[in-house]
Amino acid sequence: MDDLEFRKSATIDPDNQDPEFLKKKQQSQYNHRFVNDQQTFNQELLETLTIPTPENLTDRIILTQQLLQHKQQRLKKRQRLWRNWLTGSVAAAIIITFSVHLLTPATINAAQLAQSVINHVHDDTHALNVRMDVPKSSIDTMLASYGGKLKGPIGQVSFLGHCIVGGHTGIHMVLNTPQGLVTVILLPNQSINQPSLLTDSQYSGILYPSEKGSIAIIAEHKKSIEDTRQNINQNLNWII
Amino acid sequence: MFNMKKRTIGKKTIEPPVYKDVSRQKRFETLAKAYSSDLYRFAFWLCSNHAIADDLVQETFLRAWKALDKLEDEKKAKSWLITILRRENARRFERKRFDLVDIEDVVVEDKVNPGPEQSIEKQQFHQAILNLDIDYREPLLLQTIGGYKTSEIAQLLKLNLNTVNTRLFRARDQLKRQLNKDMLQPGRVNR
Repeated sequence: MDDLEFRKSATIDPDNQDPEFLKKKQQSQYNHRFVNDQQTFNQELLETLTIPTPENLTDRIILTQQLLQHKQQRLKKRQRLWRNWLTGSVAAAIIITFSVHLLTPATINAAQLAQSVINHVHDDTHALNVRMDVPKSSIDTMLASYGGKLKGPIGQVSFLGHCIVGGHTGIHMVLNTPQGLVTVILLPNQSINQPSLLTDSQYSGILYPSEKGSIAIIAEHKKSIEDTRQNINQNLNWII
Repeated sequence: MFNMKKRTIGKKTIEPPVYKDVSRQKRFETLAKAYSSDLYRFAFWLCSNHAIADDLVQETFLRAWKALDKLEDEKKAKSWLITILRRENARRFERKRFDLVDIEDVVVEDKVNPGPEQSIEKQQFHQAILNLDIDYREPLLLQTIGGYKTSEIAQLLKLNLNTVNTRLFRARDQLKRQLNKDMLQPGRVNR
């Protein structure tokens, strides 16, 4: 280590503990004094830099931190409440939507339903072959299960039973009219927006919206259809 | 009563949140007590304003609190805090660039505000330090107030070791020159 390097090192860090530096320091009185001067200067520098700090600095730092923490906790609490409320609301909305969906009769395509009705009549040949005189009390009981009621007589009912049309339950009746047998299918759980005609090679009929769901009337003779329709409309009441 | 026992899920032991909060709080308070003074001095000599230094320190500790979990080694706490403070100070300049005011509209604070008890030599020393360019002043502050070795300063300031040595040498050299010049000024009372 040359003199210049030594003085530079002593200026940068007079407390340098490098063996080469310490050896050089011991080599001459001048070097020793030079290091001492630098140490004195450093001490003065440190004293000047060590300014008094504001009173309660640490306490204020901790206080500010505590206030921030409190604020964050309050915010978190509010966010948690809001999240819970939102979760509850979403759950309630889902439940309500499903409930409404389940409780409200489905509105489906009338033509599709009409086709289902025709198919059902063709499938359920048994209904047209039965010759019974179904008592009014049986009709009332079955209607009541759907919220329906008869105001007056609808004529002789030769068949009465539950049926499934288009995935929903309904009431299947066969009326023995002067023009022949007429099938009446009450579908309280299937709403349609507009009437639809039912026709195929054997049957004619109509599917029309009712106060509750829809009603289908099918017969081989068109005239009996309109008469039965008026008959049903006059005498059937939906209470619920 | 709350059950404060440690809960165990599988092999992992989990501290109850209350314990975690308490230990975090204690850790923070220990840091604040240990380093707030040094940080304040460092801040003051960086910005040469007591109010700004106070704000810088407060903001530094708030940021430290938020990021306390990132501090893994307590031995590095001081360097970590100084790094936060330096960043805060840099942000202050960023903000300042867009916050221009007419100098005549504001009262400029006397940056050197020595008490009456302070000696003339100390006042001169004080002013000489503030006159140093920030590039020279900062490593000097880290070495004296921070107590860092030159290699550590190089790491903190992301500088080459030779650059740090040169800056430290020039900082002291400039201080001595300024003080000698002041000593030679006429009217100075020798004590």
